[in-house]
Amino acid sequence: MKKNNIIINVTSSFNWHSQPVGIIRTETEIVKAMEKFNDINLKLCIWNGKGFEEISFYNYINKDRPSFLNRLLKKIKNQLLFILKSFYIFFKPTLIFLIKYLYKILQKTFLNKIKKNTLIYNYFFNIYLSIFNLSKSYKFKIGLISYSNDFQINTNLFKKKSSFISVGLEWSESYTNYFFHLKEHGINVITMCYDLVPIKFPQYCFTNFSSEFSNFLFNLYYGSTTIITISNTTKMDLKNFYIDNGFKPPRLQIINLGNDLSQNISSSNYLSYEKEYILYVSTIETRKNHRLLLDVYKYAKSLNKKMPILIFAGRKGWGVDDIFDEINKDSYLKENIKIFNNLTDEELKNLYKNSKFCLFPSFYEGFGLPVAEALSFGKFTLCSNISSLKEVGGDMLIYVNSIDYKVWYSRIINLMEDSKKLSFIENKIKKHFVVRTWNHVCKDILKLTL
Amino acid sequence: MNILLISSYSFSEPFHGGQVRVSNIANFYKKIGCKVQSIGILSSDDYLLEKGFISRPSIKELSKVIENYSNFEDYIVGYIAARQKKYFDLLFSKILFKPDIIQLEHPWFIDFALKIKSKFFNNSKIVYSSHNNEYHLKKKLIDSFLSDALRSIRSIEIKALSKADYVISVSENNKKYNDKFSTSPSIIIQNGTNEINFKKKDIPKAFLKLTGKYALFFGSSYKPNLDGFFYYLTDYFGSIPPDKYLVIAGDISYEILKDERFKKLQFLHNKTIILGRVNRNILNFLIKSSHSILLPLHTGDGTSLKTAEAIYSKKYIIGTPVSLRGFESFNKSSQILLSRSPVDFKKNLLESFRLKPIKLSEKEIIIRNNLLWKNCLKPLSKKIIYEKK
Repeated sequence: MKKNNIIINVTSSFNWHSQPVGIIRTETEIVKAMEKFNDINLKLCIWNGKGFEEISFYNYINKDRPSFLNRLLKKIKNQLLFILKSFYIFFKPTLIFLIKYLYKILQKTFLNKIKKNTLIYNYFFNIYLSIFNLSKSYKFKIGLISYSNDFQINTNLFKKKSSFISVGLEWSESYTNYFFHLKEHGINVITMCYDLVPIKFPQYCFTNFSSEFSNFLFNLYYGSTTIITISNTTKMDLKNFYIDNGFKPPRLQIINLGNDLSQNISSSNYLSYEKEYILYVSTIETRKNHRLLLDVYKYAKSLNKKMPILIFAGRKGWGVDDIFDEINKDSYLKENIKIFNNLTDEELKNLYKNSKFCLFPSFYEGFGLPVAEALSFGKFTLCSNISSLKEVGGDMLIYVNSIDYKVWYSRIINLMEDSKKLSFIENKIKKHFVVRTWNHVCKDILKLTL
Repeated sequence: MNILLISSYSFSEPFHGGQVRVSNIANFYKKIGCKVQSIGILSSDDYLLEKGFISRPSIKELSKVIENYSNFEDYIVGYIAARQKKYFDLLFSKILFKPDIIQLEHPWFIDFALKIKSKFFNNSKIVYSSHNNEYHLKKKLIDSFLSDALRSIRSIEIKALSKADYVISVSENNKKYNDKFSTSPSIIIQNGTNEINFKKKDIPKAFLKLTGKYALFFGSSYKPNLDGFFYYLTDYFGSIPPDKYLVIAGDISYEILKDERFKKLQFLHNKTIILGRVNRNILNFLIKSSHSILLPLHTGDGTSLKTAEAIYSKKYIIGTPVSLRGFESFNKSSQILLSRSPVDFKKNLLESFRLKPIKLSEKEIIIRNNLLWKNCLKPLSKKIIYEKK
């Protein structure tokens, strides 16, 4: 029997050199699980800037970590870019005003006189554009005709009727433009959408990121045979996005992520935290609503109520300096809230395993993987009242309004003090929760390749 | 018969709709044997300083009449032509014959026309022609509250309508409005189009590769063109398939590129070819080779010349109730994809790319031939020239 050709795009995880975030973990777990299937012909590929090139599984697993010097140079480069960007943002209004003013003078004194000569006029206009639009993504030149479909398909890698799976961090990647050409070439292109945060909550993202993200979603639309969504919430959000922008909904398939972190847990206790603690596993960013938990602890302080240690496990994201400052400056918060960054999988597993229970007050999630992972350890999570988390936790968990910190406070106190209740819920979880392995996830994906 | 045309723009090389209309009217008069002279004071530096025209007054002179003169330049040049001796004498000195008809394009020069009629040309008849309702148009164009200036626009428009011996309207709706203020004979000259021909040898090779693969948006830097573009291609826009393009031509290109809103339409950045000002031969090629034409007008009065041209081109039109005003009889044709909202517009544009190139019946083609200027302008000779004789 002829084996099914599967090509997985591993560009994101191959180029990732720090603590993996959820999407990187998803890509890696899918590759590792897929590799165990004998009835498929699996190939891995990465984007090299011009096209997709094949890499071996060995190279993928044993990828070189950049040297200390490279990492240092990258850090310096990022820091310099940050300073330049801040400088630019600060002076941008003045700069734009000056450029516009100069252009106006030029237009009145010179350009209108040469307007009949379109070539010369366009030449000056392009100079104006290149100064005015300092953003690198903005490369317009008036009067210039360029074609975007100059993509050469690597036919050794992409045999017709193969399936191409791309599930990485790719909203800023230019290669999503070319999915369409793969699809046209007869490749079954399977992509994944995790959530629509930049569209639904642009305030939680960098300026203009929603535009970049919408570009990615349009590329998925044109370039995918099937788009996987990781929950019904994301499916509905994506469907509505396409309808609102004049599209007929494409083929969307819900495939929940794996949550088998509790499997194969090492016996060694990597990170033992002796005191009783509750846990919030998540990147620390505004959307995740760590602020609410700070308010809960400040409220407890005002009531002189003893609280368990709260652990934030996750890397620092964008726009949360105030949260870190507040924890550092307030001795009560500093004593009771601990932040763990750069955890290994083993350390994270142990944190889950030994926690009293977990918290997840996020404003919006595509799926809420940490909630599923906590469940796989038999742990209860107090969640915010959003539909994607209800998909994960069903009636095993409790869902609370993500704004009212007093309600969160009383729920936490109640769970801490009523150990019978907590045990009852944990038993319910153990009885009803079915661990979903990455093997299950891959089986569901492979159904789309037939 | 001597016909004196007065306008605030020259039109030997027309690039916006108003210029095209006057240019065709002038040519029509010439073709039927009239002697035609055009005069005026230019309301913008963009217009070519042709024989018979006076260059735009200085900013100082403009702002003396209306402090925030922007968008009111046309009103002001008409105002000073009648009231400032220097300009009156200069403009009057441009007149080379005794006119039988003084035709005004827009109401701006009505006071000048009435003055020269009463002083020098008693037997001349005044024809008022406009393809807009100026008061309503200005009201929509101006963001700030400039009630005095707007009142002036309204009164000069009413004056032109009530004092003219003939009124030329552009559509039934426009005529209804004009008839409220005028008892003079009134005719409708619908906006038309010239035949769309081009010389292939003068078309750059790069353009030829585009044939059939793009939707075309072309227009002048007229503000409603810009507002309509961003109103209908709003927020997130992805309605151009990867193997297709959006081609933008005309002075609107410069305005779109300068606009901050364009940066946000990131998906368009790889799919858009912006050509800037192009000559008529290339524009005709672009129209003929396009798959569809966008007419995303959201504000504005009167009927659009581009609409006539687009309908005549026999290409799919993604239009709006505003851009198709005056051409409603075509709305049910398979050529028209009428969009009442931005979502509709995006949906229709996407849908148009799925459709095969349009094929019209003989009957439909004949109906479209009525849109040629030579046919649209026939009422001019029947009514104005014949009656004046």
